[in-house]
Amino acid sequence: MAIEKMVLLKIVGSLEEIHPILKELILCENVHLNIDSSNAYNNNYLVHQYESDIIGSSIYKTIDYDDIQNECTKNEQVVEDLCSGLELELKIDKKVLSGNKYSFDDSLYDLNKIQSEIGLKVEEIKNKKNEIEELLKLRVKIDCIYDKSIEFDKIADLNFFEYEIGALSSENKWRLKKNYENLTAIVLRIGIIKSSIEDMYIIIYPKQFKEETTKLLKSLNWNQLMIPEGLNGNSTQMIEQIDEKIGDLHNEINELSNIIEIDKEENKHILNKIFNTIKLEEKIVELERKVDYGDNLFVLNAWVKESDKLSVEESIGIVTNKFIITEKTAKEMEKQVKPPTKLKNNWFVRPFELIVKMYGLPSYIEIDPTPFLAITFCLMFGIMFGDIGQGLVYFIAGFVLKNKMGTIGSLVMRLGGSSIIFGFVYGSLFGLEQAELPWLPSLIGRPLDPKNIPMILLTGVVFGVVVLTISFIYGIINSLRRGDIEEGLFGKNGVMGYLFFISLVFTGVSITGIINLPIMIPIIGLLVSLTIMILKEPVTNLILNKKPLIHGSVSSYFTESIFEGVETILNALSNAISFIRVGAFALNHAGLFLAFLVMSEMTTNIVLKIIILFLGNILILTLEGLVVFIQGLRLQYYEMFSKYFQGNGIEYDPIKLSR
Amino acid sequence: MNPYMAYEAVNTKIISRIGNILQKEDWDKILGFTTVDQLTVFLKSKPAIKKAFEDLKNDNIHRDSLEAILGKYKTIEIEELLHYFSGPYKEFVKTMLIESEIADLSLILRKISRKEDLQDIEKRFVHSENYTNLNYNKLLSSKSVVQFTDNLKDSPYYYGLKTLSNDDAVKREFHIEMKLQLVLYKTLMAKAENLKTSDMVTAKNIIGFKIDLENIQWIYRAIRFYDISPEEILVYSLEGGKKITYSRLKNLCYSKSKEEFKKLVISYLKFDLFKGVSDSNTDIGIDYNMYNYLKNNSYDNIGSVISYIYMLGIIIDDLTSVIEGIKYNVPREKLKSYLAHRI
Repeated sequence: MAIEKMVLLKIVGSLEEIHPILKELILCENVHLNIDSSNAYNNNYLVHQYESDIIGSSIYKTIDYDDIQNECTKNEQVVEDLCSGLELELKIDKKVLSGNKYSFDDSLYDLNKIQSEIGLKVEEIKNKKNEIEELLKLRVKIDCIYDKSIEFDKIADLNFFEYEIGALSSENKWRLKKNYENLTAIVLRIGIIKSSIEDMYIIIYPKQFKEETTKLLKSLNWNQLMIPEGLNGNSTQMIEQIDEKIGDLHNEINELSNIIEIDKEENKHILNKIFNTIKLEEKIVELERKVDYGDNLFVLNAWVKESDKLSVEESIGIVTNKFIITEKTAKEMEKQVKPPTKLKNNWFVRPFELIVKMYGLPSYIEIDPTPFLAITFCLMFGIMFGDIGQGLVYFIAGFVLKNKMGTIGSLVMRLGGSSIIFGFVYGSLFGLEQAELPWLPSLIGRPLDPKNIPMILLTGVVFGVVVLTISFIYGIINSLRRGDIEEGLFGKNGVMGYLFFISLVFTGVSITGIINLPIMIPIIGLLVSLTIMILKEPVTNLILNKKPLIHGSVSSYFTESIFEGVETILNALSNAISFIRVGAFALNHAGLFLAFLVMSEMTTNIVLKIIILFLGNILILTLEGLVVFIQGLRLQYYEMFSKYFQGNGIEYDPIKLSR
Repeated sequence: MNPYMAYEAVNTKIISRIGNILQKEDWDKILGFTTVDQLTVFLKSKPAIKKAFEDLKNDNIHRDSLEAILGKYKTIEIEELLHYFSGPYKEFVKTMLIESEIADLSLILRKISRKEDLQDIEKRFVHSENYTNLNYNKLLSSKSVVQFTDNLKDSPYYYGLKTLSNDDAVKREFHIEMKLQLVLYKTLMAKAENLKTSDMVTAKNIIGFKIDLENIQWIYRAIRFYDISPEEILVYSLEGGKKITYSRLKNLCYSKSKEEFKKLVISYLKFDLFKGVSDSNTDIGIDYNMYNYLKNNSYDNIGSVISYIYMLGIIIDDLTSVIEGIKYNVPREKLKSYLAHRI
């Protein structure tokens, strides 16, 4: 069984103990809560049943979750600000929380303490850094002014004119220029700001037009240059003053940093603990909002792996004995709710879960398709892309990728391994075969050998019939597990669907004379199965003794059903033929390299020969490798999954601390 | 054949849609409704619009007002049309989604500047979640206008709004509206440049005509209702008009009276935009004339898509007017005069 067995624990506890119980459940990290559809779990019944058994304090305080949430958000911000000031990184780490009595209130106390000790200094450093940033921006603007001798404070005291210096985009400058004759101001460009769409301008206007000019400048997104107090003289002098000021600020920051550095390590530990405590509190509040409540108890539905059941009970047992746990198996619950799915596969098969999940996750009652997919995908890839050398390249590439990309690397390694094995079957090393390398071992010889071509194509079809047979069996089992007799026995992916498919295969076999089988036998099989498939609803209802035999309009049922019959015929035909591609790509793989080999034989230059063969291998490894992978994926998803896999499961996602 | 546009598929879809949205007799019925519920039930019975309600079921935001549902409907339609395009054509059609984005940005800015509660504002959003580059959660967390514009950094809307103060956002709301419009039309015109020549010409013609109408509406409103100088009016006007060149725009901005302005508009456009329109409702003339312009021109290129999107917008505007009319008990005849559709 490649899907982990689940049990549903209905945890009933006293309201007074909800906080520590939830804390333990979060920290044990193996509980999947499915609280959004709690109606289906009949919790009201449990609440009534245990209301009198669990007696808590009669004056249980009502909690304002919004208040706690706001408190958490506010304090989390404080922690983050302190850490960014101290250049510390916060990490989720449940180890700092488990096994101690450090409470949310303790964390707030510690946070206040740290804040009062270093908070002001951290804030001061932050402000000074911002100030430096602003000064640097100002410096760029002042530095770009062409005429370094303008003294702005001197032109500030004109009797009849006022001026403004600022930045204006070229687009808005163009707008001004086009209407310049109507403007009551003089606009002069005084500098170009590098890597900006804006340039520096000075605008001089008569004092009586101040309001009008200010409004106009607003419409132009005028970005006025505000010269801070303390800066004066011409632009060269101002830049000197800015540099001096930035230097002073850096010194002040260094001094402050030295002070807060003293207890940095200790503060790092405490801040991380506070951060995790706040995160835990947030998670608890999130869950508390969602559980079902009675007057003095709460009910929680927790899906756990059967193997984790005891450890969950023990975790709760550590904090209280005022709780009751009733257990339901997934089988008992699967009619009302969907149990979560946790795939459980061995090391070889596990990376292929990625391909399954790309399509959908199996539901709890479905057979996990991963092992079947892993074996068939490796076989397909190997048959289509069998080469010792190229397989080895994939294997090594997968090994390298494994550290960076995890599952994808492991997947490539396995496909490479399969390619190596089939490389020995065909006797192919980087496309070169026994003709070129007589010492190369080979089981069946080169794929393009005339005696091998029909066999390889036929192998593809036989391989297809075998894997489709298994797919049909999986489909039938899955339908019957869902209680869908109509589809399982009489549907196009059920027993009758398979009878139709296999009859079609044997009709072909009989016609070609591969086996001496009277053609009437498979044809009878075809007709019988097709008729039953068309009549699947009335036949099912007849067996189950349900009336009416056909729901809804009889004519529309038959129209739909006959069309489905036609679709089944087409599908069965395409299914049987589709797998020829497995053999065809094996030939294509050898053929593509043959083209490069012929090209290399056209030259006597050994270096050129090697370059051509090298390029051929690169093309095969990249382009053909990708095509073969996609073809394999297509056969899995389209021909096989469509027979047996629905993929509408819910992923087992245990609650845990997260950022 | 255009490799970037499945034209036949788009055109078939558009022809089947536009004719089916609402017929003349439907509008007659719509004007007779006395409650918004009646209108909702009626719209749900129309196959083309019914989709709007169904598509939104999958949306995780529950829109409770009919106006928001209809506004979002236009966005969903554009998103659906996008499947038929690729390359520069997709980029161009995507730009038409900016209109709904700027509607939402204006809404948030208005609320923030007036210090109103932002709770449930998402229910009124009409922008496309699939094609936006903005982080709406971050925008909604803004505590002030300045913080809001700061959060718009790296978006095309930032430059026009960066000098905006809270006071400006309240007293000069037109600044927000016009600067955002500027982004929309500038981007549309720029993206149109990348289309095939015939498509580019058509696109620029339709958008240019729309820009003309928008400019006329803006200048008329500015002259009548806002205390701003002609220079400012000119700065806020949009570029790229079809019939109203820059010098004509300048003449309109500097016109001495309402009458002179109207005369100039008629002489430039060669038709009377203000015919039968009361002073307070300049929008109506715009929608009505745009609708007529689109109806009288048939396109066998990108024009059909632009035309469909604009027409859909006008239908939605009219339905929104009806909803408001119902809410404020506006008499049927008066309500009729507010609509772009002449019934």
